[in-house]
Amino acid sequence: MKSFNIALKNIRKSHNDYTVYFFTLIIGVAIFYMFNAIGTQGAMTRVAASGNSLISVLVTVIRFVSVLVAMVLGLLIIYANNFLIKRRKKEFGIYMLLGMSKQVVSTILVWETCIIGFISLLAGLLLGIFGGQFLSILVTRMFEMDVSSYRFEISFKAILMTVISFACIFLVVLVFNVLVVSKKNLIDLIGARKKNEKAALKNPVLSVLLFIISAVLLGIALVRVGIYGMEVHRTEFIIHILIGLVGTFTLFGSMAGFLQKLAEHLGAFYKKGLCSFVIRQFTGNINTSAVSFALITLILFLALCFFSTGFSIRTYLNKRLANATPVDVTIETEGDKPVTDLLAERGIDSAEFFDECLDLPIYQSPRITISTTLGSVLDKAKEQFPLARWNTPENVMTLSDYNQIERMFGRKELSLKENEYAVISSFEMLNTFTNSALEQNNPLEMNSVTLTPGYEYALDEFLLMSETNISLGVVIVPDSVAADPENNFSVSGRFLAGNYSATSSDERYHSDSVLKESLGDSLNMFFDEEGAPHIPVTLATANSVRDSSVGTSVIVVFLVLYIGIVFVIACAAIIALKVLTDSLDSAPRFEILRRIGADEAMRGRALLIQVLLNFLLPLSIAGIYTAFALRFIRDALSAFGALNMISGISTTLVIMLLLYGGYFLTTCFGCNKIIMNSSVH
Amino acid sequence: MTKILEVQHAEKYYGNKGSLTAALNDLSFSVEEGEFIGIMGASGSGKTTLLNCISTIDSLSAGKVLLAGQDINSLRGRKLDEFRSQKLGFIFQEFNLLDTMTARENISLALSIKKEAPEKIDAKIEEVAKTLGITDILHKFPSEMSGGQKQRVAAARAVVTDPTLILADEPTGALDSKASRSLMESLCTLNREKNATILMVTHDSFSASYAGRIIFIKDGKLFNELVREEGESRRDFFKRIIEVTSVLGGEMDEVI
Repeated sequence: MKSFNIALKNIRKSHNDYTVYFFTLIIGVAIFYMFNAIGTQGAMTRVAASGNSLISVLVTVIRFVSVLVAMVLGLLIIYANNFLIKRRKKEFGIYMLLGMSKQVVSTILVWETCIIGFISLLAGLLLGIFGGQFLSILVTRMFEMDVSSYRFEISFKAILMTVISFACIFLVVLVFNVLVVSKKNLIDLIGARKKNEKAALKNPVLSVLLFIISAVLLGIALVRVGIYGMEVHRTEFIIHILIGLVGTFTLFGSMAGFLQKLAEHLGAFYKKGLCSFVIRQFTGNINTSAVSFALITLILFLALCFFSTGFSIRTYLNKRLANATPVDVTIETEGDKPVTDLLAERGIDSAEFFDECLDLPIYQSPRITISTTLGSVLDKAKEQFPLARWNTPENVMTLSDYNQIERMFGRKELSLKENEYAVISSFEMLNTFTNSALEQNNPLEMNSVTLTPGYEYALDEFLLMSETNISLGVVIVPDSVAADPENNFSVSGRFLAGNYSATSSDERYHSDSVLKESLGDSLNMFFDEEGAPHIPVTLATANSVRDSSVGTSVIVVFLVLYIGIVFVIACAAIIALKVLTDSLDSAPRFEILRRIGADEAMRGRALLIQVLLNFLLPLSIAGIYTAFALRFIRDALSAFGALNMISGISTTLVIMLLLYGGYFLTTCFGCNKIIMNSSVH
Repeated sequence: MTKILEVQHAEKYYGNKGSLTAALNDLSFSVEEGEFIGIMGASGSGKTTLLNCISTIDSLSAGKVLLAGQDINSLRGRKLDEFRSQKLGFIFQEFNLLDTMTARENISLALSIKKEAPEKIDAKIEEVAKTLGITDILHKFPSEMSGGQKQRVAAARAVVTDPTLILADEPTGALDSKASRSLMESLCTLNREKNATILMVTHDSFSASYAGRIIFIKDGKLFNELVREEGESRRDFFKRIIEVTSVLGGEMDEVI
């Protein structure tokens, strides 16, 4: 029990170092629990209840990612622990010098680890359970769901998973700690001091040179990938990524020498106040931990990319969703039988079932195919989509029919002259080609007349509702053109858009399933003679589109939050621990400053700048990388449409400010305590 | 000659109500401009307490310390820090050089803190480095210097700001005899050529023999005072110091 008391006392005594360690452990545990408990949280069960399989996908994905996260957290904890233990080797040496046996010292360490593990696991789980509720309220708000189904939930399965994972991690930590004591000789422990500050690169000329080379190569790589990324050849792309990796390390390796030379050349600036001191401290920091800095920068870069892209995609999906469900249900069928007749055959009275409904014909003409609508840009399109079937006839609708839909969907009506046509399409990748064809005034030769585009771009609209809102084109022609028998138009299908007469949410879901059941047989996919898939009936309800879209959003947001937060915490915690332990070394230096007359404000400022630089340097370099990477990501994901990165970036900034800023503040207070306390006497 | 430093009835007590220890007990003396004064005493005699009180690191329980006519106990906060950087220069037993900076940067920092104009800094450093013979080692880090060199850099840092008073706390305490001699000669040069006022606390009679006047403290009180006569050789002065220290007794015997 004596060793237990000593362990307890030790933890209390070195609480400065341990604050950040505890902080990290608790957040780590809480996050691990929160995300593993997601499947059972109220908001999620609501989505799952609507028969959406995406939630079970989310749970599975999170379980897999959790393994990765557990490993990252495990490594972080082991690193942080070793860091703290290393600084205490001398203390253990003194215990032994005073006659304590290795077993007893080991026992003290075992107790320490157990106490820390137990407290942080408990606190983390508590935080996680309450944080989980907060998270599900957030989700409910985010996706405009019904809050009434909200309940306070505790997932025992998630608790068990968290406890087992962290117990394993702490067991490894325990083994490490005991090894440190039992493997070392007394002389090693007593003599353990921080390593001499050896420059990674001593020759200043060489560092300046290497720094400039690294910076230039990195710049080239960033510009090539970020701005010309889509045109860059695959091999070149990989080379640039490698340059980015290696360059980051050499950049940090040579940065100290470069900064020092730069500062000295600035002359007057270097001789102002404590500038020279701060710069020396900072370059010393970079020098001794260039590798850590480079790693932290790269991990932060990944996290920033995750956050920004993820949140941008979410915003995009949500925005799309708002316009994607103008009516309760849309149905597309093949053949010329009206959909209402089809429903009547199955015992559904459309007049009763729908509050309002449109049942319109879709035409085809051998003169209007994907090839003819693309005209002169067809060859370019063929390069991009080598597998497409270019002679497929386009769906055609008459202007008056389509304008009925426009009115029902609440969109602006089209107006076309007697010899004009329009294209509606929300498939952005194809639209670039369609748009240039329309811009070039691509004519459609009919037998009776030659049609020219009435709009010089494809209208971003759709018939059938869909989650991503990507639908292939429909060509709109004047009524007279379709009516003229000379043009050989035939009815190839029907399109129904309707609003249920049912008003409550539950009744609407019920109406959905009634339709699904009655059309059920024909909802399956068929294959035509050539083996191409075609679907005789396609049913899209607002409910299913909304739910699956929410599901996709949820998956994206949660994965991004989960991985991103863990990465950021890992980086911030390592920086914080490094700065705190470094400040133990620099405490005597601050005492000297006090003695030679630097006042408290001056010293406080120097300390703040030093801590700030440590946090900001990797973040700002990662930020620069991210800015270029996001350009590339935006271009690469252009198939989704124009991603508005601003929303993603602003959400990222808020999260970073909270997490990274939290660590920064904690570190500042810790350092202030260490340094200002030590200079009282 | 003007009085630079006046210590009037200085008293300093440590401990609580139950057991009071007087570290300084009604101690009075004064230092004139351009003087090189040594303060000697055994361990626990109160000489470090005295130095701390003069250097504003500690404050007196009773009495006054006047530096250039100003009562330093009346200074607080920012004014105190300013006073320390403008009026005082320190030389410590453990050198107290910043290990991360070169000799030049260490000296330059003292000027920067005093908000000296950057363009004047280099000239000042060159001048003081020449006086102390450290021009060749200005580019070196403390870890690359010998003890004597470090202490001379520390001395350069102390005097480069032209302080009213230089306080030296056992400056030769961590030096071998050769380095001690060379440092003391440097201090004498500073005293002579730049008219620097130096107050040195030491328990080493050899170092003390370079001073012009020596105050002996015992149990927080003034015990004796020796003044080096005009034309008196350092060797003779040294002998007189030894005589007093042997009377002081106790641990002071070890010094011989």
